[in-house]
Amino acid sequence: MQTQSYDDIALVAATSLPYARRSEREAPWFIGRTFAGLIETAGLQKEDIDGLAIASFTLAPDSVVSMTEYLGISPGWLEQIPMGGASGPVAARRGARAVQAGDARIVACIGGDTADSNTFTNLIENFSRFSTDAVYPYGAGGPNTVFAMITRNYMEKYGAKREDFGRICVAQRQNALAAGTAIFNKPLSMDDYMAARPVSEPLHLFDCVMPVAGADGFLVMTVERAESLGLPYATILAAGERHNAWFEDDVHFRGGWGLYRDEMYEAANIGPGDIDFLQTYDDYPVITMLQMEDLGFCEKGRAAEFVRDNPLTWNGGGLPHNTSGGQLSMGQAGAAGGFLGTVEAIRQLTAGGLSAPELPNQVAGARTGMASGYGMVNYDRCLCASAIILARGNQ
Amino acid sequence: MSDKSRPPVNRSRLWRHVNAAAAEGVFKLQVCDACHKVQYPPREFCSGCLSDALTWEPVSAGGTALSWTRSHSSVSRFFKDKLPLHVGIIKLDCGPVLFAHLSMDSLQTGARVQIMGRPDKSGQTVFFARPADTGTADEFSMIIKE
Repeated sequence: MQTQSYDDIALVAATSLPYARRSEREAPWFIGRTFAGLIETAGLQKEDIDGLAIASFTLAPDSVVSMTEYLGISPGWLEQIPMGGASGPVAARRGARAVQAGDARIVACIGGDTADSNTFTNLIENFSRFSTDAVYPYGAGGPNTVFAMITRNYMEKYGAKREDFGRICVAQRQNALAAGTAIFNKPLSMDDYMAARPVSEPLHLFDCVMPVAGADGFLVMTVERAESLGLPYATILAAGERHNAWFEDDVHFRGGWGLYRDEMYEAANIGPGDIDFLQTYDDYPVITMLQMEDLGFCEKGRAAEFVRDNPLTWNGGGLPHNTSGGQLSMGQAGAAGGFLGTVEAIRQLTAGGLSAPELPNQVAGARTGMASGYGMVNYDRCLCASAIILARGNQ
Repeated sequence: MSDKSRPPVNRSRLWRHVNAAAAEGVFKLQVCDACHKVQYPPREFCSGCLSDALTWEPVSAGGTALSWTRSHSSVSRFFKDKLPLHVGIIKLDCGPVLFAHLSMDSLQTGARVQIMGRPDKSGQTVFFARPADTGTADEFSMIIKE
């Protein structure tokens, strides 16, 4: 059975708060400011928003329910998405289905988190029962420990070299410099990358994302409503998610994307070769490689070769990848990291039309883009793998 | 807040069984009464057949290192002056995958190891992996409780 299409759905008002290394503000501030930015961009009143989907690690003890009171709104549809890095494409799917079903008219989707010196430690200390019992006590390195071992396994299995990971990081920094919004705004050369200090071998400094504070969001509504509001929009050609895929693999080397990608391309009626840019979840460059493989941009185990042959910069003529700079240059703003790619994809596909100016990092002529997500290290890998294919609306 | 004198102390309720087995000097994991699947990390029911009849039983402590890391950073104040740390993912002969402090002699994918549970300086059991022919845990004395 083929999944129902998303044809009548529009994603609008891509909104990002500037990220900060640390903040005294609490999570509701980040979510609240993003909400205000969304309605301002769309020219709406807050009462127009009758659906709210939130992803956040630092919102507790509050929840999406508490946010309705902070925001002074009375929605008829709420969703909290506990999927961290996979939350952006999932929020778009959930919101789209709610609007199609008539359960909500306009859904605000926001991922946001604060960061101070303790939030990251508190988060990884109590991330899951399995992690608290069986991972965190072994050095309290957080996800670096787990992903270092996944990276080593991948290198030994497929022959990827540090330089191959470096190509991803260096290209993203070039994208970040063009976009002009990243925290890490100094050029990064391959020599800088290779000379960096080891963090958890084989991972070195520029393979790891810095925890930061920030938020990203977008609105989901019908195409009809977006057009009547005069808003540039992106449409959803297809989307998917899969959780705890390949649990029989002893070491993680493939994610759930491969289990639905054919179905997704079929629904979108395009193939990976038709995608004008790709936004992956880049908590570590090896995970970007898994997405490139599992989403069909190259064969399994061939991503190192793919990044050697394909410039990943926004204007390099290859496959533009993580055009905002990604988390490797922006930092990881908690669950906002799961929204970053989706929001950048919407931004790319809504800029340069109607009254919207072009972006400084605009991918020339981009008509379709993909964003993928990856989240939640319950034990020895992340369990959630999401993806969405978007297209430029009728501007 | 992390404690300079102790490694992380929090564990789930089920971890007391791991501590009890380590006190006996026996490597025990949960085994499903119904389908015999060995489970790790500890859990309330079998991830294979969903039976909640899990018994802590002695199992083979042999395993193979699947991957490893030399870690130069930690958010724990206890570990900060003990870096670098060596940690491995071990595929146990009895089935599950387990994280362990890894012996310097076993820093190689495919290395055969023996798992040993000992209380760390927080009093909670952690697992150590070392070559099968090494009986001592001297290498890990900075982590193990005297």
